Amino acid sequence: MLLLLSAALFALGLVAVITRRNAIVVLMGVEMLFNAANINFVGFAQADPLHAGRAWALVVMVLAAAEAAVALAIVLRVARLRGTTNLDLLTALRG
Amino acid sequence: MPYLAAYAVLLPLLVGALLLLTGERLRFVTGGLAVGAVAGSLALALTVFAQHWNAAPAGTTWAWFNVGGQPFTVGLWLDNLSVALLALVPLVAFPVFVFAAKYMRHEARYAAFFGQLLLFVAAMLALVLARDLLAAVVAWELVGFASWLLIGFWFTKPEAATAARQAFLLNRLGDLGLFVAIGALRAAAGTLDLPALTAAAPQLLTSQPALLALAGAGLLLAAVAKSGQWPLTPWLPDAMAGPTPVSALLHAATLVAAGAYLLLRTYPLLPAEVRAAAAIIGASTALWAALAAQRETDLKRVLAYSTASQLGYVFLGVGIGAPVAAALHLLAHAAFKASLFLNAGLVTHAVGHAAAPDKMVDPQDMRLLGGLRHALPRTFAAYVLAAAALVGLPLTTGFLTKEALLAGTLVWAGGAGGGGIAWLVPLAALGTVGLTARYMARHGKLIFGGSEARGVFRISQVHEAGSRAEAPLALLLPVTGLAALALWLTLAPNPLHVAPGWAARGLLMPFPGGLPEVGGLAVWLPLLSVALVGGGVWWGLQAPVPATIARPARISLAVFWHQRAPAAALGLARIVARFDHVGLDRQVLRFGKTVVVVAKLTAWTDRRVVDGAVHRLAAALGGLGRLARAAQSGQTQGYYRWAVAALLGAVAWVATR
Amino acid sequence: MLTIGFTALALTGGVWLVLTPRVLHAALALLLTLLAVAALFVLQAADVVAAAQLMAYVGGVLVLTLFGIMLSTPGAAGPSSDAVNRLSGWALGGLTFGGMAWILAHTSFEALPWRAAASGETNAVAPDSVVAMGTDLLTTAVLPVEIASLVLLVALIAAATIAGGEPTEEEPVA
Repeated sequence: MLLLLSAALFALGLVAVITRRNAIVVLMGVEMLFNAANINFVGFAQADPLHAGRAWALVVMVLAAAEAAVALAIVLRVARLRGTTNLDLLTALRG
Repeated sequence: MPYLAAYAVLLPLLVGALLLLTGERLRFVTGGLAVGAVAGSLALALTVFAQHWNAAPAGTTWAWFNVGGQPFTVGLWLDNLSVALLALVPLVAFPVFVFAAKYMRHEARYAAFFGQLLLFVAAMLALVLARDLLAAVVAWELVGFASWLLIGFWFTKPEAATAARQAFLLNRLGDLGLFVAIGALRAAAGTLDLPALTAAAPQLLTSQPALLALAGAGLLLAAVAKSGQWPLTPWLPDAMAGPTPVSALLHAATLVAAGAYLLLRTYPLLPAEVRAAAAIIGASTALWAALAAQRETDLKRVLAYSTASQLGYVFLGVGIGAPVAAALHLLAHAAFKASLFLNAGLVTHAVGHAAAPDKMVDPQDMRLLGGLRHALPRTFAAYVLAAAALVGLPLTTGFLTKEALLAGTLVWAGGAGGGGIAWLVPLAALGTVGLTARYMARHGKLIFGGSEARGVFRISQVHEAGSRAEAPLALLLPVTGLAALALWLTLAPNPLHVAPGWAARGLLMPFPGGLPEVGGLAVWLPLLSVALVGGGVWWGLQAPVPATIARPARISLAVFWHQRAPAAALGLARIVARFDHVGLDRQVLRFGKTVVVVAKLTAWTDRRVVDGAVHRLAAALGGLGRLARAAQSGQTQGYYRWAVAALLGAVAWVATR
Repeated sequence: MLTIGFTALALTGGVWLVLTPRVLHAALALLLTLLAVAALFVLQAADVVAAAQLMAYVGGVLVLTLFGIMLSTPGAAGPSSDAVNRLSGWALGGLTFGGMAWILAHTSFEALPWRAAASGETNAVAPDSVVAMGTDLLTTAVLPVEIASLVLLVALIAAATIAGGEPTEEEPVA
């Protein structure tokens, strides 16, 4: 049950990352990916007598927080430089 | 009441934090607050001193944390050594604060300065009181951090920023030693509690010699870095880039004393080899720094070198097994050196006023000074007293403690020392006495002596500054008060021998047998050293006034680190380059000519045969490239889509195989 | 029962996040999902992780996101987020979910080595005490904690540097 929810949230996060145009919504999708992983950690830790997964869930949260801080800083920077957070308009990498 | 001592630490710490946190809002009460905090701390410290001096050692312990069932504790320890330092630090800091309240009042970051200075004092007091190495290392790091802040207080000046960085980095090197020592001691004894370690020291030294040697080496490294001993000295003179009150505090009672204090505190734990190393390092630093001071032209850098030199004596005292003499010298040095530094502040203050329009000249350059004894008679009087203590003239504390140290070196070299080579140590110590006298005499002569004709800052100019020529009482009193502490009565009633004094007898409690029996030396050694001092002073007064404005060649490690080592590397590179040019190049040239001939032959084949194939291949690749370019839309999500699809494909492939 | 309810709530939030064209609504949807997941953590007896979830995600990341929305979208019109790559995105998401579900259905978790080792205590719901967690973090899991703290430090400095003052020609952002 829990693992299925994790898979579903992961897939939804993936969809959000791929389809949404706004960079901030994309970041929200990434947060959802992290959360799906965390559900897995906690779910498995439940069956593990050492509960090691819980510590890892905390570490993942820290990483998610770090990611959010840096990514949002980048988004702000880009928004200030280019005046938009629409990913379709940010195509400096076009080959 | 050991808790009273904790308040002596907390008071400056809290007031300092208040000043740092409120920015410059409390600027107008800052001077009063800071001086009040130090005065309160001084009162508390003196109360503790009165209660605990010559009393049984007392202390408290608090459990801090447990790791794996191993308890770690912090606590206070009050024996005669820590109590003496506890009284000394605010005793020196108080005049410095009074001085700084006036001296720094035009500074934009006045409150920040005092906040940092209070933090510095609090950290030093905490280090002095620390019962265990865990608390000591916290205080130790705080002392280093605060000194970094203070040396770099004028961080917009490049030399101040560099000096602060240098001091910090070299101190970090020492911290490494401290960490190693803590690990080794913990492994050897299972505790970091200094009284327990000290009590177990004789047994530990025999049962765990390797770990104790490691710990001793680490402690020595830490102390060497903190006290600016050889070969980690360069930061010490460079730290003069900080404000004058900082120099006074840093080089007298706090930063450099921290290293020596650590060594004294852990004295019973040091194996014989480490002690011998300390003695050698101390003697060589004393001699070398005294030599380096001979040609220095900066007012404050001379004093900085003399600090390194005098701290060398302290290390020497620890090394030769005379910790009482070393501790006494540390105490005496703190008072007179602080006075000398503040005195330098007075001189630059007065001269700076006179030279205000011309910003280009450096008021700390001794070549530009001279004849100031007429303009600043009271400053000169305080200077003479403190300088006499530094060179070790009779009737001063410096004389007493130096005699004890010198006698100790002679006893050490004659006793269980290491044969003939061991006599080099007392020789260096005695030579340093003469050299100290010489550079201080030269220092005094260049600043105060001579006629007024010399230099840029004429006395008349200083006089023209009017009432400001002699510093105001708020600046003069601290200097004089500290200089008065340099009189022999501070330590002992007998102006020739320190052992019967109250201080020596008290310090024998933590260090039984820490003052060697001098015997017959007591008669002729003072005579010899007075003769040395006299000769040195006479020689110093003959010293010529350096005429050129060019920077003199400094006998310093800094020169080695900054110039000699890179120069050597460059020279090596140049030799290699020449070999390259003469030898290899010719060969290369000959080889090249052959290659050209071969190449011409190849080129023909190339154009006819190979190029055709290459052109066809290029066209094919271009088509592929156009295909690939279509995928490079520049849209992040497009890339991500491909990545996910590829990952899914890979996983599916692995899973179904 | 509670588990099913909160799972449904989490999924609702996820779907809403993906479908809504309004950025603020997406943030609210994320909040819903995160709260539901926190509740699920509590049901899994992982109360410390749940508290951390509330503090780090709901209290930290979400607030940060809201600030990001406010600071990055000029103009009075509410920020919007159209969808692109609809077909391929949903296809990939569906494939991922399908693949994971397939794997879950075909894995026998009881055969995992560490489950076999702990076979005596299957499904033992130990109350997640703060003390046990703290001990765990400072003993067996001390390396990940240290690495995480280092990463966090680097990220904070990086974020401050990146989002910091406007770069000029003379003074490029270091």
